[in-house]
Amino acid sequence: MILHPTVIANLLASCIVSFMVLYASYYGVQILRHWDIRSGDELQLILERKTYLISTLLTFVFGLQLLSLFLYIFTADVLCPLFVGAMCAAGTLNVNEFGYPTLVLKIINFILAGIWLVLNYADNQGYDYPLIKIKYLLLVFIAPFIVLETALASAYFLNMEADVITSCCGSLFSAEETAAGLGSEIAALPARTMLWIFYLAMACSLAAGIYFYLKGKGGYLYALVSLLVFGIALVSIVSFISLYIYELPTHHCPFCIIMEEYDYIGYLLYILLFGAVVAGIGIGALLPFRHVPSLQNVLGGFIRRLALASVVLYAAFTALVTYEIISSNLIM
Amino acid sequence: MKKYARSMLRLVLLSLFFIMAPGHGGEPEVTIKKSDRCPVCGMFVYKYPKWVAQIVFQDGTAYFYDGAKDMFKHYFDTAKYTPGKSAQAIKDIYVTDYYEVELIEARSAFYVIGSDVLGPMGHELLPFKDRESAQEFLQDHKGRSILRFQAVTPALIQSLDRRS
Amino acid sequence: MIELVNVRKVFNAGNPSEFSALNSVNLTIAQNRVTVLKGPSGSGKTTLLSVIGCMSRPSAGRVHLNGREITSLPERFLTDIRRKTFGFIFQQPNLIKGISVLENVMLPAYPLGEKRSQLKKKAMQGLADLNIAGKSASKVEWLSGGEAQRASIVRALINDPAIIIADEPTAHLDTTLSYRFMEIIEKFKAEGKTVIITSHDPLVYEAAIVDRVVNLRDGRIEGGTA
Repeated sequence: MILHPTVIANLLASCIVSFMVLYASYYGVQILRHWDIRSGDELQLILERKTYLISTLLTFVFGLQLLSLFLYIFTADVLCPLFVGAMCAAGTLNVNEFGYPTLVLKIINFILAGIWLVLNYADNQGYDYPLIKIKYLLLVFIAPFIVLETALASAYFLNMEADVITSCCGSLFSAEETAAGLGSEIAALPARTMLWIFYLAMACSLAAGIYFYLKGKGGYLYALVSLLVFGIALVSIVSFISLYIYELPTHHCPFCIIMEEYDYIGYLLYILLFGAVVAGIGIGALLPFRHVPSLQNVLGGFIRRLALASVVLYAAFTALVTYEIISSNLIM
Repeated sequence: MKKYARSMLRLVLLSLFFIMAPGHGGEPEVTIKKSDRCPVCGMFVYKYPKWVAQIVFQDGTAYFYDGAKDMFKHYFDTAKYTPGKSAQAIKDIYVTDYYEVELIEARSAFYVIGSDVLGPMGHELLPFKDRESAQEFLQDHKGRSILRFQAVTPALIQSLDRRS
Repeated sequence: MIELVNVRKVFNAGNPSEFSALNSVNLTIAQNRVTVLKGPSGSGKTTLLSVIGCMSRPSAGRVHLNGREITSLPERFLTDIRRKTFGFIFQQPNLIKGISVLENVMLPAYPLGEKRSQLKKKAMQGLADLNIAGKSASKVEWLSGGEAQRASIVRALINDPAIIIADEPTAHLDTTLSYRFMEIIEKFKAEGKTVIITSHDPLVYEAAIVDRVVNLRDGRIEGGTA
């Protein structure tokens, strides 16, 4: 194992999150089985006290989970000088077979954690814990993903060998016919076409979001659209956005953009993107509960704020991408 | 008379030596900016000063690489990495001698492949300005063979891109 | 109206020193009445008072305030209700040293975000009602016992609560001041407020304005449910 502070931070964060989620899940199961707000017996009152504590702890823990995605790619970027052939996080992640699966799981858990935080916030606005069972059901659903991610991250970091030659991102995201792998397939998509698809998809998404914000209809549609656009945006980063940022027609790597030499723009792009998709999906998660009595006054406003946040973040992302394309020296 | 001619010849040769020695063929201007990146892999070249390679085109544009291997990749498929340019328009090519750590002419250099020394891009062609230093390096670092510039092929470059 | 259903309060549950302060208490406190909780030391009066006043949650059972169940409320909702509904008067005045009487009196209203000038006017009016307006700028250390008690009463009234809770309010007052205190309580009743007092002072529980006396012994109400 490489005893770098970032590696220790990653492992520590993963362990803390896993432990807390499992501990909370134990009480979650109790709540799912025994919760009855109308009864006055001792177990119910104990559960009421417990949920207050556990929700607060989980808020911090899932907040940590959100940060850990960015810590992870930061760590991979920082460690790349240790591995021959690695020039950015892409190479570090390729050092053993656990690097990329951990990343995929961290992305999934970012979205799940974000949805839980949205549900928890809504639940706290009601005076009778209206969403408590849904909340803990989601927690129990998330728990195995969190534990799996911790296992994969541990396997990745503990099996890191310094004397391997890893692939450079140039070959991982190469548009060559001979290159294999998902990265290369995405890189090989025609850039011009992807550009049009990206802008079209963003326009649809912003239209759907603004329509929902103003009229209150089409919330589920927007939640679905925001998820699709998230995927399209990630593909676009590899396909053409990276080319403009690097001003190199063959460099598709989605990780080099987080480096200092590119003003850390990658972090900003990813924060905007991930924030937007969590807000969008959060709308879909909350819409089924807008008729719950204790939330009548507050849920509508909260859902609208989520819609606005999602639209603004996606718009900012598109604006930033457009700025990069216009100010780039690359002409395609 | 013969003695005079011989010493005259020596004087002429000596002076010629002193006149010609300082300027041995177009010392390249090497100011690598922090923003210079290898057009093949996008790596920032300033991080790897011991491995720098350079191609200068006839129109004055120059590109830097983080190793001889990437330089060769650009050389074999110039239009792919720099659309609109072709290998015919190349004026000079330089590589960094591994021992002396100074730029030398690529087309007259000696390249060692198969050694245990890895460059920023993994398995590399290590350049040397003469066969003796290349041979010494090959023996010290378990190199497989020494090649001249003309003997390097795209297939060879591809074979260097393996993981182990 | 306050209703307690099967309320039980246990301290140190699970430990050898487990102590059950209240046991199956069923009680209804009528609105706009003066109720006195009477009983010897250790009978659970103060615990019962703190449960009624939303200051602590029972270990079992429910409390209903004007028909609304309050024991299951999350903390942020409970504090909101407590702040607006109850005014607390303790045995000791419990005024905060280092700030003036006026500041002390305004303190419970700060979280409600009222405009400061209006709050000040209300506070001064309250002090005037109890004849200590002249002491508004004084430090609390300079007040006499009776004045301090009156200041704490003004503080209890600052949010215009519907229910006044007083825990042994006459414990440190002499007879004259105690009678004066009961006059203030009479005024509350006339204003429509509900008053709940714990006391083992006969001057309090035998007073004419007291509508009901609840006898507590060992955490239970004597005479069954009410």
